[in-house]
Amino acid sequence: MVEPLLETRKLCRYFGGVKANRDIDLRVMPGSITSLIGPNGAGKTTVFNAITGIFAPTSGEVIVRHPRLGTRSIGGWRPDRICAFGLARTFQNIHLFADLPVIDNVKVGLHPRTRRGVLSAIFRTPGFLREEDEIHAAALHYLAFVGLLEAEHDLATNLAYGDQRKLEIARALATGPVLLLLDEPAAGMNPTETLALMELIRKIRDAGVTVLLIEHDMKLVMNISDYVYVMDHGELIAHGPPVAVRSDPRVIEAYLGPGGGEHGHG
Amino acid sequence: MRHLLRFFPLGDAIAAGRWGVVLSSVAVVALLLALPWLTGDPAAPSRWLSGCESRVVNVTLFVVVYAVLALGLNIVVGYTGLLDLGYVTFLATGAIVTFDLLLLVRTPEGLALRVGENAGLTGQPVFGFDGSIFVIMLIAGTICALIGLLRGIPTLKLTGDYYAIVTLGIAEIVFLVYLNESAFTGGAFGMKLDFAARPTLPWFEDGQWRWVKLYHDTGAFYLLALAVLGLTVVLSDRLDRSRIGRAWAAIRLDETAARACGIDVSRYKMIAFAVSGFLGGVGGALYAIWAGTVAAKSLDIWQSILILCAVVLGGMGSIRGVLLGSAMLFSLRELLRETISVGGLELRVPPEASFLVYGLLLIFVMRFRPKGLFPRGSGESVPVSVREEKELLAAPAHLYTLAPAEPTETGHG
Amino acid sequence: MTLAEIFSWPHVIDALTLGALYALIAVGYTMVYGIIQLINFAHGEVFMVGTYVALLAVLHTGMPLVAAIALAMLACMALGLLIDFTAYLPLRRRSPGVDAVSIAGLTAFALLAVAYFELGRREVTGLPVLLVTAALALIPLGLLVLALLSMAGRLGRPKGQVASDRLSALITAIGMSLSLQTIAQLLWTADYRAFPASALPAFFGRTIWTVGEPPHQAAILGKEIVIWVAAAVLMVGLGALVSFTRTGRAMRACAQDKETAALMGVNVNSVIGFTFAVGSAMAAIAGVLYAVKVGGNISPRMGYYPGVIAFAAAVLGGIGSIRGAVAGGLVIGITQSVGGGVTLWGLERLAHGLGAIGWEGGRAGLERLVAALAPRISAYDFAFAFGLMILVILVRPWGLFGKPGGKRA
Repeated sequence: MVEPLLETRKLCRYFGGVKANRDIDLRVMPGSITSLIGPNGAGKTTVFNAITGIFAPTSGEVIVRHPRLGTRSIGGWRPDRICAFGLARTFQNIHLFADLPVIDNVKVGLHPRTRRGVLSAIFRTPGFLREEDEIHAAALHYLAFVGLLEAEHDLATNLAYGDQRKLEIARALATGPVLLLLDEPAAGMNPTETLALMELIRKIRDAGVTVLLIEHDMKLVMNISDYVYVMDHGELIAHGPPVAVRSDPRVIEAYLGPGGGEHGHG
Repeated sequence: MRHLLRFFPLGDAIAAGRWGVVLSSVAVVALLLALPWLTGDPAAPSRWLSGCESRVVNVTLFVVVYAVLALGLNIVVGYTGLLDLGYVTFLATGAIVTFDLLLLVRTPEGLALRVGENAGLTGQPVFGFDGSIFVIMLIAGTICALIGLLRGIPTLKLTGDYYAIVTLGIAEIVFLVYLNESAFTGGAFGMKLDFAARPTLPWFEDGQWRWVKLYHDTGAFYLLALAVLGLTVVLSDRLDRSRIGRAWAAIRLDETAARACGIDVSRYKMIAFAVSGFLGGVGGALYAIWAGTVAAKSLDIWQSILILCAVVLGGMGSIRGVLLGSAMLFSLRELLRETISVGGLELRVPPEASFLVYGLLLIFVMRFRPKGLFPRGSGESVPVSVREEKELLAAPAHLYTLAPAEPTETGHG
Repeated sequence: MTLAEIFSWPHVIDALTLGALYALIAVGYTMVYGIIQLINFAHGEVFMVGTYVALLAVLHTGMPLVAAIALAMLACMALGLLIDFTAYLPLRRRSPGVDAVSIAGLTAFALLAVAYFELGRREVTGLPVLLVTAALALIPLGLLVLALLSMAGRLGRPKGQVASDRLSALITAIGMSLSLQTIAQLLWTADYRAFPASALPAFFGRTIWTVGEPPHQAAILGKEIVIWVAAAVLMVGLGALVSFTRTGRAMRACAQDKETAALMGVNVNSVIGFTFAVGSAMAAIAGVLYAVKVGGNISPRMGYYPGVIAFAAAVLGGIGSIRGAVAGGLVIGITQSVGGGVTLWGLERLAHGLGAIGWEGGRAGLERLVAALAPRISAYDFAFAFGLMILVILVRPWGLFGKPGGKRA
């Protein structure tokens, strides 16, 4: 039996008295696209932040079964260590290095998998120069993967919105993740861009990277997800294959509200 | 072949075909080397050496010494984006350590400093050996790097104005210590280097190599200072255009994203503090030899501000900017001392007013050119020509780990 | 040294007086920081200018000290507005007109200060000096009018916002501080000066009470009482202003959220200007009283240490809080007065302890250190204040009396 790549057990995160997450149990299977959906304010990003170490979980466990590095409980690790362990993420409000060229953004992403330090940089040792070449080559390949090769010299801040999202994904992929966590990657995109993005996400999964996706727009994720978790008010209210979740009365209620449409899905 | 080229300074620029950078760099170095000859007395036995005593070369030397310091400050302020107001600590420590080492003598009772009451002390100077200046610069740099690390421990988590005010506070405390612990610093009166205590460098003179004492108007010191500046520029540039420099840029631009990219922010800040401290210590050693006297009292917080002013004026994070900023600011300081005669009216900016110019510069630069007069370029950390890029795309990329080969133009993965 | 000696009456009185003065300066920092998150480095220079204005008024017109202080307050309110108008306002919003005027004014004023200095150096008197002096007075007046107009929104719409990053603002503040200090040096020389004894009310030097027993007896002088009373009255008044008036409410709204306040119809720039003015007036009083307390310390650089220390007090009490500034000022004052003594006392205790556990070498070494430090420990008084500031920023950046999670750097 295949074990989940990422598993959270009774993950809780409180802010003072506010229980942003209560007893979240996620199981993300390797090679899948798993989605975490829910209305705005349901606490989805908090789950991401607790998993990726932006802040430590208040209680509960986060277990990662890395195919090469073994199984670890990563709850409370620093974000950079979690990233180096193979969990990369993007942000809902894009966090690019705005004043760096596109290619350097991706090169920063290659940081955890490269080694050369101060002295080899100062003396330009053969090893350093070789590594820089490898970094450059890999960065170009990642840009090609997301379709930004043409823009490599531009500043990140000058990219179109959709391209900024792509660049953030390329940067996250460059860290060499086994699991990619995407926080509302389609936010602010038009329908055409969204379709292309979904295609890209599939491509990432096919390239061997498991994807955990946050979306608040349910329709969007139903097509590409293998498995869906639904959150509301800090708790998981349903999970299952998309078809099952779509017809779950609790999900419908969370999205439409008991009385009908006033929540919408804005 | 490419790697061999890149090993040498300017190799990057040559490889990327940036001939403007190459030519201007060579021209500046040549001009600096030829400057004493240009300003020298043609009738003197050595026109070059006589030029070393000229006003122009003196001002240049002043600029060079402060440019080393400014580049050191630039590591923290320009690369990691933290406003260090306590940089004078490194300058003062470097200068004081240099003097302490040079004035350290071995007496029958043990080691002692020829400072203050002990000025008459006789004995064998410990660091009086020829060429000791290199050892001393290394020691001063290392001590300052350690201070940088020590100071980094409490300030790691701070950003913005709290980082600035804490570094300022630490610098003030260190200042008070240096002012009051006169056994090591000469206190309010300071320390002086006499002829005997001056370090030496080898020099070709009268047909033979011999050791000459270093003074601010000697050719040996001019070349030493230029060499240190050159090494500092190369070091800054190479760090900036490396994995380290990209990590610093990431921290400066977005700390959260830097962490999410697997960068250990504390570690890279510490590296910046250590390198910055090291350069500050080396610059302090140069300053000490150049000035010949060191008084703790004159190494106060305004020195920090002055150096910061050069960095800000030129452009934080831009080596070219910091160099030009230092050149403008510190030659301005000298120019302000000149008397200009306009229609019989003698005009002179009083020395008291020079800080007014710096203050206004800070305000105006921040308003109109917040990135400085010669801002940091927005180019890639490693510029690569189109041909090289094709080669790189064709070569296997071990770091590209996405599994099944997505059919890119080059077709591998 | 015993604790009783360290906390003896002379030290306590000194600490309270310093604390009261620091609190008066600190409110300027804390209010400005609370609203625009800027360490107004030039605040120490406002303090210095206020002192000079009062000193010159007393010396040249012979007006009574109270009137001189009132004049200094007015001058400093104007100066506070000017600093905001010429240095910080252009960073908050882009308005080419304001830019041009403020820069031309600043530059002209600087040049005139240089000219004034040069005329003095060449011992020129008569008409040129008169002209330069008049211009020196007129430029700030003109700028002030513009500043007030701009705050009232009469200078036309600003052209868009400037992405004012905090580092730029801080560097600008340092530049302003440097400029003001140098201008003061040009106008009034770097010599140390003091209020002439004849200008001060006789009451100031009189012993009002005597407290404690010999040898640690201390006289509470009239000036100390004046400082305490003035500080208490002003702080209570300021607290009332912020709590109960319309302007105070606008200030608190801006401190919470400038954008929302602006949407609710608050003129944010005029509130900021008002904050600068009020803080500066406090600094002017503090400056004069500080000069009266210390005596003979009026110089262009007098504002730097009290300025930074008062900022420390503001942080200590929780930035943005007026009550915090008072508490922080007192704590810093105490630290500065007794820090050295307590350190020596601690080292002595430690030496005893080492002796008690039988490490004689360590005891002797520490005692030698204490003996060596004792004569010059008072030179470190500011170091203890700085040390406390660093400690608080590291451990409780929200201040001793604030709550975590509030606004901070």
